[in-house]
Amino acid sequence: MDVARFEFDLDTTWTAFFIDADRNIYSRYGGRDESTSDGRQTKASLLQTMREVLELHEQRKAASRLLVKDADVHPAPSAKLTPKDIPLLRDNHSGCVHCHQVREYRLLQAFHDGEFRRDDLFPFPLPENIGLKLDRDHGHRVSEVVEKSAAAVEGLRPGDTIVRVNDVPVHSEGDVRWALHRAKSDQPLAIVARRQSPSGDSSTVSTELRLSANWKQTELGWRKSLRSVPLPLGFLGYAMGREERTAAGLKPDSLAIKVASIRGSGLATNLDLKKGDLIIQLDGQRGERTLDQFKSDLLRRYAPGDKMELRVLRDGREVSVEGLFPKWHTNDVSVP
Amino acid sequence: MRLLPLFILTFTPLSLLADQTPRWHTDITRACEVSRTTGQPIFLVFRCVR
Repeated sequence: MDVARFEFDLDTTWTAFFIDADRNIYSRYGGRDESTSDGRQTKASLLQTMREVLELHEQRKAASRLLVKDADVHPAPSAKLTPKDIPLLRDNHSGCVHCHQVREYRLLQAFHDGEFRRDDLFPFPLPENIGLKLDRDHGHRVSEVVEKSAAAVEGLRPGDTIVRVNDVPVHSEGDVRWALHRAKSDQPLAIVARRQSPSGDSSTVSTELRLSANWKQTELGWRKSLRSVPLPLGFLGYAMGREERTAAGLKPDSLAIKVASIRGSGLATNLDLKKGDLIIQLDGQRGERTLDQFKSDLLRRYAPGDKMELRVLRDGREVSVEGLFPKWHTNDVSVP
Repeated sequence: MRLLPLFILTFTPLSLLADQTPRWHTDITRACEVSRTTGQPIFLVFRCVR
């Protein structure tokens, strides 16, 4: 399977494509967020995408081959990539390859090739990241524009239907997310929307969004591939249960990551964490987090070399520990 | 090594509207052949079973 042409969010358990006989992609459908695996998918939005794709397919069939426009389909990659083309996967993996494992091997391969970039951590950004909430029962019609967001600044409105993001024609939220995924984070984002007037007339709105530096960041705690991110925590730990937290004198809904043991070097050694420390605050935040959510919080806030601080309970006293966020590193060459 | 699990559906507007049973294939090459012959687009599904 060509995972370059059929690129999708590999941490999801279900995703779909609409294609023609030449494997041109009309639309991508699927995608999730941290709340539920299928909360962003509805029967109504799937049918909406199907209707649009079928109409486009019929139009392209009716047009002469010379008049068929590449701009109507998703841009194709310049080269094919199969899981076997990832050297670490080919050399170290046997048996069935799960989708998330393909992503994990790509992360490990990028690190070992010296090509890992922080942006790689945040695949398939949400439309909310650019200030757009999309109607779940339509898929690519704006239901809300987040106040003061880039989308609001450029005048996008509720009711606008997003029809293109950069070079990607849009028929679903999945299309929007793929376009955001492949967009350069430091370049303006071109959006074309269809706007209906109260009298029913339709017009086209074209705009360019200028986005903040970290606009691609989303919660990573739900992603299976998080375990293969080259972040050396340097400790083994766990999120304490509610009863343990209460026994430690903490609120039941508070942050409580127990450092069970120090392993190798990394964040723990940089901040001089000790076995038995209880992490209770990160960047002023004390809300309940799992270990994976805590890891996600770290990755969203810091880059290697950034100064950081944690508050920990040590021998019954609350202390502050400071140090530098560690450089990317992993010794892993395979994925369990 | 088995690659990503996939299921492929070819469908027509008529089959959708009439709720006819769609045709599933597990080989994308075969699905493309059917699509070329019938003029139907393809619904390609990736499902990862953990």
